[in-house]
Amino acid sequence: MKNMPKHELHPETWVDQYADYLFNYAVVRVSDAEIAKDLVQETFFAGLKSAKNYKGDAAERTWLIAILKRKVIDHYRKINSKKGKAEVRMSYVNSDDENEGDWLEERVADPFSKGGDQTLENEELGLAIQDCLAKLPKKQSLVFTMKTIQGISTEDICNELGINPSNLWVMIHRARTALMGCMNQNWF
Amino acid sequence: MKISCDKAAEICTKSQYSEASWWQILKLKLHISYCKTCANFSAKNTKFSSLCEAAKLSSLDESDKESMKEALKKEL
Repeated sequence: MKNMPKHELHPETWVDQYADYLFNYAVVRVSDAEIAKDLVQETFFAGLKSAKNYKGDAAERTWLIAILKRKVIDHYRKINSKKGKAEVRMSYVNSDDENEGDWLEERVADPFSKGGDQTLENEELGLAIQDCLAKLPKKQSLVFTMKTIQGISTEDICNELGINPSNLWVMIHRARTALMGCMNQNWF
Repeated sequence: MKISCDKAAEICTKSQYSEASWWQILKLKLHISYCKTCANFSAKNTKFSSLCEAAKLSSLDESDKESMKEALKKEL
């Protein structure tokens, strides 16, 4: 008898549940919001296409991250193959640092080189916050995101969502309290 | 000058976004001086703000998400 799959896919909830999480993951790696956005969209499409291969042994998000990883690698392959066609050596940056090469590849932020610990830790932190954010009621997470991440003014948020400032502060307060409760104590 | 814990929490949250007046902050500081619960909350809240900053969070616009949803719906 076959084992029942432990996890199931719910593509209709993907955007709300994972878009920001995947976006954060991608933006750290490609350092460009537009490209990161496209990669997230492609990841969702690829996920749909290969949904029948999903065996349910990994959680939905882990599975999507695995697809996104491939997309990031493909992205770098693509730009590298373009570069190969015109190998002109030139100095892109003015630097006194002898240790840094002239090649762009040598300048691309490498999360595993010096200072990598800090970068990795910040990324892990970002994903931990996004993870908790996805567990909040939709409106709370929306207000928190607009205010804290996008830095939109109180007035503009109120106008856009049709709420008054005291509603807004109550929601922000609830969101922050929930997030602090959700995040591992080790961060504090 | 005295404020409730609820009020203190509200000012504390506003001050994380620099939207509390100096007068409110003064009242909050006074409250914190004798209320340990709020002092703890305030410290944690401030720490959380610096975590959010350190994490350099980014997010997609709601409009981007809506168009992603639309595109996905077509494929479903």
